Amino acid sequence: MVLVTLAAFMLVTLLPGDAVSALLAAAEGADPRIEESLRLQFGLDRPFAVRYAQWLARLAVGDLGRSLLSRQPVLDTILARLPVTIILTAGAILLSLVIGIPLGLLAGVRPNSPADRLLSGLAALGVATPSFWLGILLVFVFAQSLGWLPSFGYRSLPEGGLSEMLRHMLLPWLTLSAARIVEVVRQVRSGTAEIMTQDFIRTARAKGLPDRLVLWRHALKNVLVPVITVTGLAVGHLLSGAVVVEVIFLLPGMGTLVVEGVLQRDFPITQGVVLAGATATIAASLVADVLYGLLDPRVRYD
Amino acid sequence: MTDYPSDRPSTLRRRFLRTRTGPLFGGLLTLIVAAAILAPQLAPHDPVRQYLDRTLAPPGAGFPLGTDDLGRDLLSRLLYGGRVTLLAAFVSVGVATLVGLPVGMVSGMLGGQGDVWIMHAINALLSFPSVLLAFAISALIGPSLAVVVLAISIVFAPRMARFARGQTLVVRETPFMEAARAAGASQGRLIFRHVLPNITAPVLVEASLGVGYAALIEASISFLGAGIQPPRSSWGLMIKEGFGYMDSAPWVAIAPGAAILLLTLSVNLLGDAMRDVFDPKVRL
Amino acid sequence: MTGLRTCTPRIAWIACVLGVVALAMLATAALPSLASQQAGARAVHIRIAAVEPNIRNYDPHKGFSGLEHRVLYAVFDQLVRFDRAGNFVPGLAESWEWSDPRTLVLNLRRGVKFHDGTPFNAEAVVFNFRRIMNPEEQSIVRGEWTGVESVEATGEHRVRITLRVASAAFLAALTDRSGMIVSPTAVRQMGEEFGHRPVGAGPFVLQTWVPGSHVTLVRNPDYWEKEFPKADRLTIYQFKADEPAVRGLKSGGVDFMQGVPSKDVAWVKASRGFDFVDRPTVSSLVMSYNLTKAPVDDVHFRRAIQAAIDRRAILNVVYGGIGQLSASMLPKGFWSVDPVMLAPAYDPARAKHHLSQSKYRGEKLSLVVSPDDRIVKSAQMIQQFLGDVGIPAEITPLPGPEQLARFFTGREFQGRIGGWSGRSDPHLNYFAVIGCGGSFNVPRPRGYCDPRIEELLQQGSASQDREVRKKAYSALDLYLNDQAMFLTLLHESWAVATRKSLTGFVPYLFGKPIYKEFGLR
Repeated sequence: MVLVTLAAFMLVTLLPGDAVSALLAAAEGADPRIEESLRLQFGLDRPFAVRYAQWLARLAVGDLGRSLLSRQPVLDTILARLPVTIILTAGAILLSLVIGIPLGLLAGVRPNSPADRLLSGLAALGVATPSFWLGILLVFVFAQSLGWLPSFGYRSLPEGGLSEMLRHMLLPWLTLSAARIVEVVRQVRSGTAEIMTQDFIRTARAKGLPDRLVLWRHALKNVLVPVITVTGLAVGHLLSGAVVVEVIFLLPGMGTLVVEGVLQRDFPITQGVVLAGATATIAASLVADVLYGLLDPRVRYD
Repeated sequence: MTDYPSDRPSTLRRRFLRTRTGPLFGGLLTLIVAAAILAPQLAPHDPVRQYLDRTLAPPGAGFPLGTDDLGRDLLSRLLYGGRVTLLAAFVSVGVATLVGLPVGMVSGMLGGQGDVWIMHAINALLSFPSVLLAFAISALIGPSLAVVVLAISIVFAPRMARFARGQTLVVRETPFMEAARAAGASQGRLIFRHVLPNITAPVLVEASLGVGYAALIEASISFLGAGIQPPRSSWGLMIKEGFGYMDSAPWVAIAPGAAILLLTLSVNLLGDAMRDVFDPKVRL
Repeated sequence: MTGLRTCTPRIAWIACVLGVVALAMLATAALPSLASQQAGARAVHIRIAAVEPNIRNYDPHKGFSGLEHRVLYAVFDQLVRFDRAGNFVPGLAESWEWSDPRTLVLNLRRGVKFHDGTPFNAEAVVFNFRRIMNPEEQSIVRGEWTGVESVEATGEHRVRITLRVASAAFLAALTDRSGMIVSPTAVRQMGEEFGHRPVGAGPFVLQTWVPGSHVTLVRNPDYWEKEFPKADRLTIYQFKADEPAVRGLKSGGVDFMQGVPSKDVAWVKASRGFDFVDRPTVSSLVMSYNLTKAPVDDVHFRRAIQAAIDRRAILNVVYGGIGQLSASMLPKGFWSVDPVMLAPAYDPARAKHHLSQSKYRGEKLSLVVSPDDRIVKSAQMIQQFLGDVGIPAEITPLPGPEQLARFFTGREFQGRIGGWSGRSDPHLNYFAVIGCGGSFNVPRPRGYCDPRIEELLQQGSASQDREVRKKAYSALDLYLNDQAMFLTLLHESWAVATRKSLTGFVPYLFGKPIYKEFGLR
């Protein structure tokens, strides 16, 4: 975690075009006096290690600095944008599990069946498709041509109620989850296929248990555990995808925030969101660890 | 990966040819790469030349894939854009491998505290969302091909390092290594003579999968506006530019879209095939 | 569901939750949006698609981009306004008089309140003026105030402005950023955050602004013009590029879009829901220089560039022929423009001739470009035109803040291809880009100062007689064209798609929508 903060700090400080020149740009001319005072204000006269230590100290009390543009605290800005990104990412995870697990089971129970081959083909295509390509394609079909769903925007619950929110989120969710669905299908498929060859399943089947029951009772449990773990580890990927998806659908989340921040050279915002993204990734992998422990009694933390 | 020493090349070739996808997508990838390398010879036009009286011409004589909104020949742009996309993907994965592989091997062989710290650093870097990191680096330094390559390399190097370390750990525990160590081989010798040859195959597979992913990252940061800048072009940028014409002149977006799809598809499936070849037991 | 019960409890629990949530998600998503339709019947809500990348703030005195004006006009009221014919009409200033050519007295409207409830009065106006004039505040419009000697409140609702030199054009400044009055109380309270939570006395209150996403404006119930605003609520979706905005339009998610790309005009015209409006505006595509740098400090070189660019081709290819070529910085039809003046001609042979007379030796010309779809395309065409006469040009798309830091300060690049959103009075236009001390004259803050330009600007602003002013500005256009100092490549059209049920849209020459007039039938 310490190294994460160091990397986030370095990302912004070591790159050319520092905050002061960006600020000065907006100001009338480049008065050396003002430049100097700003450098002092930002502490750019001090060595890197000192600045990093000070930044860390402020970070420890939740102070991520202020946006160069809005002058509002970075933390407040991020918190205000967080719900949208959480809804987007969490929805995509849910969708990927809900769609991916049944499809994976379907393919895995009968490897090399037509259904399995079709799914493998689709999966290969899915992995190779850039997410923005898919997103714009979905908009083209469902929003522009068919007119079923809106092509952009976000409605929070208080604004539009549940149905409006879901209508606006459906395409973003689909876009973001596509690559994950493919991953889940692959994983469940190989897990199921492996289990189906094992003795206890053969025994169960031989005893005359219907396939569906065998699947539910034995296979699913063994397959689900790694899927959930890997989902936790995939949160970083999803956050990456969320940046692109938020830009496509104009969602007021952290993705649009950071793209705006980067393009406008708002360094504190960029730093803050990148750090938040890394933190979320780490947190998700911890959650995955804990879930893994809960689901698989063999793993114990002591 | 525990069968050591490795299979003989002739066996591998036979296995590779037995996979159905291997030769097919290997050939396809070779074609794509050759087309990009030979772009100056193959391209019928200068890729940035605007034929202002032939804007948005559909595919046909003179312009095999049609022209874009500024009247530039799409086939030529596709060939030259492919150079950029392929260069960005292959070079960045290459750089990442050159950096990540030694770090991973050293970390794996070192063990103990050194290994722990290197892994901490790698995990820290890995916790940054990849597209976000590449986009931020590229946009903040100022977009150019070199910067895009740098950004993607930074995203990939830790991935490769972690992978190489994992493979090294497996090899380290083999009886053969124990024997070499007992015979008094130095760490350097162990790494170069024994570890490296044994993890080359899986690292190659990982790298080939990485190329597809790198191409997608390049496309994504182009889409976000921090990739290659016009009038140069890459496939990602061409897709972005073409999307506006989906209903009126779909060929502008379809050609680069298909190109990137074929590229990622072929490296991914080739990677899968190679994995099957090197490690037949995993195949289902 | 019977299968579930046979699972182990943990798995079943997770699977159940997943399944139920997913079902709920899909089912409700498919339902039509009853709730919002009911709400929509009561309030007039207008949705606008705007291509407004990189807005920095909504502080009228401190912003940068002309794209900010659309919201500024809604949140802030100006002291003086323009009517359709371009005449000054009262705004927050009920009336004014020139007690002598150097002294302007403003009589302020009574009973007006800012959105925060504080009163609008002479004290507030003087606070605003001093804020602009204070060098430490670094106002973008301070250049318009360098000729002001003093401002003072001479009564509860009366303000006196004393100028150093007579300037009729000063009144024009009060129709723009300089005349937009901010709430002093809010500025004091919020300090630097004001630009993000602006408080004015305009027809709309800015409720939320999520940069990179949208702005929500709601009706100001206490607005002094009782018939405005017509709408209760306005959402402006701020797209980064044309494409997503157009998709929003085509999917029916918005009611109004300005600047529809030419390729989508046919769709708008054919659609049942929308009308297309093609009318000229003052907003233009321009090429400007850092005149202190070689090789663009050489008039022969600049003339070569001017003759090398086929502006008609740019208008046709990039703008689909929708727009206007003019010999002036302002469009034909504007009162200051001489209708018979000829625009610089496209003549590559002449360009080569000019080039041979210049000191230019084939070095790379480095141009910064605004990262807007159409501007980048136009810049690529210009790159080819220049290349064809032997000037290799390099174009670098950079967002606004980077342009400020690297071009306008004079640090890098020899020229810029970008937009100029235009101002309502000729003086404001010429002064800003080429006047000594103008906000966009490079290198800032003083810029490139040319005595002939200063003289003509002075002539144009000294009188209130339009014929006198027109003569001065025509002479200025001739001079700028002859010196090839500033190229107005073309004037943009409104190119508006407006929903047929939307009322109150007037295509003012000024080129910026006045949202308070928008309503729905």
